Amino acid sequence: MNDLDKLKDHFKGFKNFDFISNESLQSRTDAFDRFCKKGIPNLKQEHWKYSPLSKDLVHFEDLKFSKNEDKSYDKSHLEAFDHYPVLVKDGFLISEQVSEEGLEITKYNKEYFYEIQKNQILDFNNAFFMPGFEIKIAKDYKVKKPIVIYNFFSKKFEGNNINNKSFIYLDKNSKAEIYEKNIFEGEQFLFFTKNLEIELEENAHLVKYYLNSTNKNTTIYNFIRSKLQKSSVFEKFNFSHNVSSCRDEIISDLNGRDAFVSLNNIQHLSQKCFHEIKWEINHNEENTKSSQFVKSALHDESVAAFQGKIYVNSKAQKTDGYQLSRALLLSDQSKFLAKPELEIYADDVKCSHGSSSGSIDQESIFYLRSRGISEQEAKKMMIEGFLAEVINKIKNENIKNIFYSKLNEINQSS
Amino acid sequence: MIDIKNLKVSVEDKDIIKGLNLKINKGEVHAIMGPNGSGKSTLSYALSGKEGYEAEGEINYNGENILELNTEERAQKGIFLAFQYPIEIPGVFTNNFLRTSLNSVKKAKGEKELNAVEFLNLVKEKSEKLKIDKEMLSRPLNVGFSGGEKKRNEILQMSLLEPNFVIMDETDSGLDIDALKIVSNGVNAMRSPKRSFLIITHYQRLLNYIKPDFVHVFSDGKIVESGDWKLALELENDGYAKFVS
Amino acid sequence: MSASDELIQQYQDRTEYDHGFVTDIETIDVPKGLSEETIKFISNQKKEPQWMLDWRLNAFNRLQKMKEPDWQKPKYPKINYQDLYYYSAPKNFKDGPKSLDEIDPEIKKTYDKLGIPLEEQKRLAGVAVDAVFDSVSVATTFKDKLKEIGVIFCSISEATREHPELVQKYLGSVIPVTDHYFATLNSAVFTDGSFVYIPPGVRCPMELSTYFRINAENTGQFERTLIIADKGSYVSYLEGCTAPMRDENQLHAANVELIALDDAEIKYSTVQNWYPGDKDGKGGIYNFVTKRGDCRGKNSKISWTQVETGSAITWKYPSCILRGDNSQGEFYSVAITNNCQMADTGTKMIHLGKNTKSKIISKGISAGRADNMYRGLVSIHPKASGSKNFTQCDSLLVGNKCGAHTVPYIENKNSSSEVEHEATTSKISDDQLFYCRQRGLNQEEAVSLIVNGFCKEVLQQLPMEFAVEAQKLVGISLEGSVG
Repeated sequence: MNDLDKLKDHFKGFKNFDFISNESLQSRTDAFDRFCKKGIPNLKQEHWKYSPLSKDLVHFEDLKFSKNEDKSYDKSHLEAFDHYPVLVKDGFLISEQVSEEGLEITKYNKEYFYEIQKNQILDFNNAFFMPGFEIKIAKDYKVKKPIVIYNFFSKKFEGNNINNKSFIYLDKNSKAEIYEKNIFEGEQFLFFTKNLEIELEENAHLVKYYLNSTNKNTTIYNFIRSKLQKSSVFEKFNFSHNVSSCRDEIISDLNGRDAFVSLNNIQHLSQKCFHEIKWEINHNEENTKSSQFVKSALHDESVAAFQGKIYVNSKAQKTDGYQLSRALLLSDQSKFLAKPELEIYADDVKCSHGSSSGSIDQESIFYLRSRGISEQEAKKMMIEGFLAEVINKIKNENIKNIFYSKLNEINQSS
Repeated sequence: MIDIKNLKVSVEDKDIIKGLNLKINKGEVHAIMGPNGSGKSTLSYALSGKEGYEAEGEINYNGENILELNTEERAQKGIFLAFQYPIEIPGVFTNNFLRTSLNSVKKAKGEKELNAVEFLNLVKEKSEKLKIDKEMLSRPLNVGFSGGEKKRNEILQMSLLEPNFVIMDETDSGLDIDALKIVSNGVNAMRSPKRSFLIITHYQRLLNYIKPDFVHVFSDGKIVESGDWKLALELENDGYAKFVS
Repeated sequence: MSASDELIQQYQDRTEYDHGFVTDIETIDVPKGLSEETIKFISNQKKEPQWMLDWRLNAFNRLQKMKEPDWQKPKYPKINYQDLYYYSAPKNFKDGPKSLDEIDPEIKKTYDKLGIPLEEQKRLAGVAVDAVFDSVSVATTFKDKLKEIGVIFCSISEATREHPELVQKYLGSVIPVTDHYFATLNSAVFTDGSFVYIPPGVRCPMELSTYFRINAENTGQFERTLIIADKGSYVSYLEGCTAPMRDENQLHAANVELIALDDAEIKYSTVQNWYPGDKDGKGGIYNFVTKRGDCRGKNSKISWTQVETGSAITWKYPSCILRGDNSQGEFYSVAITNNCQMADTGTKMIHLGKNTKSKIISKGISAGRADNMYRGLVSIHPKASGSKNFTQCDSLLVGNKCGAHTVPYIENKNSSSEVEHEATTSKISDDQLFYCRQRGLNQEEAVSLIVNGFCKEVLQQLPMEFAVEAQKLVGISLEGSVG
């Protein structure tokens, strides 16, 4: 109760920030009330089982809210290839707005809020969010170069909690590629929640890449809700590397025939890092297809969790749902937790999941060593090869190279 | 070149090789033939230093007992095992693997490592001889390869690494006649006065293509008979029964 | 006589449930409700020693502080525990029969209808039957033969009186009194069940089996089974259930505890065919069972095989605690749900010892408006090095009004251990059906054939005597589901 009382005071103060419109005030208050009613997540709640968040978030009383007026950033982090930059600093969109041909990038301005019963962190985000971006792609427009989203977290930020909301919309027959990465300038404790809504109209195609790499004291909750209309495609590639504590949650609704979602994630963790994936794919229409693919390499005392669910509505005949998670446990103290779930109400479907965890295959190591490769090098090759299976699915060469260089960087440091 | 003295090998406390003596001089090709389950594959693993194969006795290689050396150290010294079942490693690309392997061996020998261009030229030259498709090299190691492709890949590795002592474990298994010819041509091309071969096989078939200088019959962990290549023909006609008590 | 004849007549045409008839036997009942008085009454009826009564009362006290679980998928109307009867015994056999001759002709006829005439049982090769009729053992056969080799096979009430040292040592040692709501409820009010002890080095020469029936109206059934396989011993135990038709839901909350010491092996097979309720979901048994095996010794093995076709709700997870090094656990399951049936079943494999192995093969078949859920846990603890698990969960759907769900929890905390899980969902293809029918099978025969093929891996784990019955059941359970 104590934690919540303090938060209530925080919320009173937070409401005075200038970016909060009168229109959104009521819905923020409602969301906050819902959060208070549901309480802080704990491991006993099925929705937060295995989640690092339920352990990290016991100290809600220590949260500090602030706003950073400084709009400077370190340009050296910008990618060398030609792209549209979207700069977000400490939760706020700071880059210039873009409006050209079929592409529009503006500050987040939606008033629509939705709730998920068992997810109180979403309520928290809806109460305390700062405006991120809105990306809108017009009908028939194929964005010519990748959009790159930079999430800067500055050293000078006075608060320790940032919540942000954003929106991506692709109209009919449009196409876009979006690459997102986090840049942590400091090492202070930070609790960051990100709530991204994605809507894909008929035949739209979105490919999204996310590199979430090395941070020391950050707890991150990434939430994505994507809605796919007829024949649309959503592809997602996540690289979660040494994130101290992070949950990536995606809900994907396949609402139109022939829609396809493909979620891919690499978990590469060392020390005491904890990364959790929670995916839920809802096949609501006929002939929809989904694929989930996770590869985890776990060093030291790291823990990875994977919870993936395929739901098939009784309407959704001819569904094709596929899921595979494979984990390498590379140390005595590493752990892999999985809950691959199927919930199926239609009979003419093809759904399968597989999950395995274990150590590196010793026969393969022997083969490599018999060719003169040292044991250490052989292990590195095996880990790299194991994780590269995800990267090899990436078609954009620039992004592929970024992911590969990250992989090498990891292998060299370990 | 190689002088094995009273080699005993056990796996999980079970004795498999029970006192093997074998001397192979430079440039010689020896064949070891034996029935299934006689411990032939165990011998190839023991010679390559596979973990879990407890060996005692002596394996002298160029005058040095290599019993205590690990797998890669033996490989770097020029011992090459052509596997009966080359393993599939998803995600590890054949090209990348070949280069890492070659450079590891070169580095151990104190030779200059090859850069990407030098390497690709070398592989191109070697793989053409073995009729290996370029596309095969850009696939993950042995993944989805046919039986013949896997064995050709083994021979390609052999020709790249240029070992001094080659152990071939049932190389003919799973090969059709065309693949068998390509593989044996590859091996014959590698024969030289400086290089020795140990061919482990169940059937005489392969020995029609790679003619050995000596043939040994292996049974219950020991060599029970030695002779020249005619012994192989005898075995093919009469079977192993004569030698297996 | 006449009443049961009428009932038999009445249900003759209802092929959905072959065994749905009621035997008219006078019963003595305790007053309704869950209380200390009820527990004392049960204990008194069973002539139990004081320690047993104390044990029950302890469980009852703990129960007061516990809450009924609600996380399961199948929901059911709130049970009024004060409106249940907790004990009923056939009046004529309050003290149990001395021999088969003493058995009530009525009961004998009931068993005849079930296809297990007791008189034939003696001649049935190698099967000893401890038939539980409304919670009290009415007959135990082969007792003498088993006695010769030191095997104890009797009712748990008898064991409490005759072998208190064994019961006191092992009862509740696998399922603690406080484990969860229904297990605790059972501990407080359990009526009867089987007790088996196999002495060191003995291989039990026959399959031990028990047939259960729920009979008296509004009687909660609280069976308690305890099987101990001492060092180096082996036993195979069969359990089968059928129940008569009822309109009101009946609660069945059994506890089964298995203990395998060093090098011992227990094989426990179940064919469950309780009354599932009618086509609209009216009536039917609530089958909430706690089954747990403890591989306490080195190199021990416990194997669960279950064929679950009956009950309105089946809710159970026969589990193995793999405590001893090199111990093994197995779980083979077929669960069929049709009409409005619901099943939430699976297993837990807890790997604690080194080099422990477990295997899970689960086949779920869902038809009509039914819901079928596999829920399982595989947990490899940090010290369980060199352990292995393999899990295969397959679901088959018949029609698009039913549901099939798979919720495995997999926790691997040891790098030298391997866990592998696979699951698929499929349907009976029209091509398969057409092929079978073109060869002269009717629709139902074809479905039965295909489903039996789907379940084969599990069914072949059953002892011969059960395998045939189980195959028939698989076919019967799905009648009317296709076409």
